Amino acid sequence: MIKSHEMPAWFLQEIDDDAPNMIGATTVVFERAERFFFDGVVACFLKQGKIPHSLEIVLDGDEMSCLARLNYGDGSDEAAFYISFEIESFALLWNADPASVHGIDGDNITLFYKHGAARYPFVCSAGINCELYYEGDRFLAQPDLEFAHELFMEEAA
Amino acid sequence: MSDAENDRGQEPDATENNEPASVAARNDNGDAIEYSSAVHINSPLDRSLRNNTAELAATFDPEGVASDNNGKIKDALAAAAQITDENERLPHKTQFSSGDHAKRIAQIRKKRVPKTSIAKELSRMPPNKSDAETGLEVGKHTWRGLIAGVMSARKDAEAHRDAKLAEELEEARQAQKELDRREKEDADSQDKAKQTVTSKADARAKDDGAEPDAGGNGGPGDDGGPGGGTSGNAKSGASTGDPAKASATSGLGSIATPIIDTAKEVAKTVAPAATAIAMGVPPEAAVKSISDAVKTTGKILQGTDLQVTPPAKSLASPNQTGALFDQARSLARVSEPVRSIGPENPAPRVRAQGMGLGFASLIKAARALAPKEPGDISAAAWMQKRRDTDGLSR
Repeated sequence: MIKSHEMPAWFLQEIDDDAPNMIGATTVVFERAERFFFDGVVACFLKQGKIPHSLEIVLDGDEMSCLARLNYGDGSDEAAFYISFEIESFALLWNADPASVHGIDGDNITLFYKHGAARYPFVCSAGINCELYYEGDRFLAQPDLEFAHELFMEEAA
Repeated sequence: MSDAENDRGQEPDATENNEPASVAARNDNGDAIEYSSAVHINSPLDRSLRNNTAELAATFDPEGVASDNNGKIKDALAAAAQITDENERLPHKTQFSSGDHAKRIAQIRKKRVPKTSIAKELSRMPPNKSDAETGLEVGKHTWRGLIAGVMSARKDAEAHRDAKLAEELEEARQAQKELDRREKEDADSQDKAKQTVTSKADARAKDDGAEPDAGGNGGPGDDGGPGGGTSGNAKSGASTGDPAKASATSGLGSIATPIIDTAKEVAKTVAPAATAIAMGVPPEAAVKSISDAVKTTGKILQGTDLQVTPPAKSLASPNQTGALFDQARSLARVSEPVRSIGPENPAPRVRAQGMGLGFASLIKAARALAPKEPGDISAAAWMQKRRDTDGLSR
């Protein structure tokens, strides 16, 4: 799996949300026995035989937005497809750095992370509200006690 | 006030002492853990969502798709389908991926309460009201339980790795024992060979000395016969491949008795020196001892007035004292075992013969830790070394 902090050129360009190659559904990643799988759009594409030549997944640390690009054909922007990608799944792939995901070789998957100070709220597997942030080339999870306190205050009221 | 607090926009009137517990907890990254599948909602999507996605994906038709030449994607699809089926059979498979939590996430992402207002609100709370701390403690407790679970999983994985390393270490130790045993056997066989040579030399010398009595055919008339028939002298010369010596020793037959007496005197003189050589005394000292013995022997021989053809020099003793040295070595009995001169435990030429390079590297790694006594290295030290080398240190 290739990691980079340099944003790809296509990400710096204006991306039209209504473009025909923009798919408004997300993709997630899950792991079983140290094997990683896609679910969502990418998994459906793979199941339908629409195997991309490569995947590029970008996470903007400032905006906390994540976008994936599936490269087909000659690799041009027109032939590619863009899908939203779960941020937690991006962090999972970044930290785990698997050799392959859903049978796609890691060399054909590139993760781009743009540094940012934003913290991303999410719910962890134990049901605890947490925050995801980047530090020391790793993604860390920390319980969002502030949010917990806020909920507690709301319930108390 | 610190820069970090300024960055968070905390109000100037909020001092460190009055800082809310939630903000203080956020400042402390000690509760943070690495994001992994233990924290991740590690399940496929809901069936309805997946079906909707499949319908949507079917409407797109990319051109120039890649092929699954090695069949990895096919295998992964089969495994994913199995996991999805199993996941859907579980009643609470998506308890954290939909419902209230999803709504709460959407709500807080849409409208997050500014931190300053929370800090302000909490700072104005009565000090004796501990509800906020109680709520935070509950969250902390739950989170710590999760961290403990993650750590436990990590420890299990590390224990598994340690067990593997210990097994490898044990194998390396067994190999080391085997190598040491073979080395010892080689050394023993070498000692035995030396003893055999020495005993043969003894036997030869005895044959030389006892030949006039036992053979009875050692008269002067036998001198010219290179074959010498089947006599002891001829046999001895033929076996050593030294006909000159055979001839010389055969010449001793007629004057055997005085020579034997002389040889005994020589043996008495040279025996301590021979013993010293066998024990590893430097050759210079041994030569000096033997030179003294030669002088003594010369005096004895002069006193006998015998003209004796000197024995032929053996290949092993090219110096002038070689003949006497051979006699002395053949007559003297070394009480202690012969030891080779040099390091006590020389390195074998091929240490890991037949073990393969991987095995040799294990032994090399174990030796690198304790070059003097490789067998005494502890398993913990060795594993720590492996961890440091492989970057597995915690």
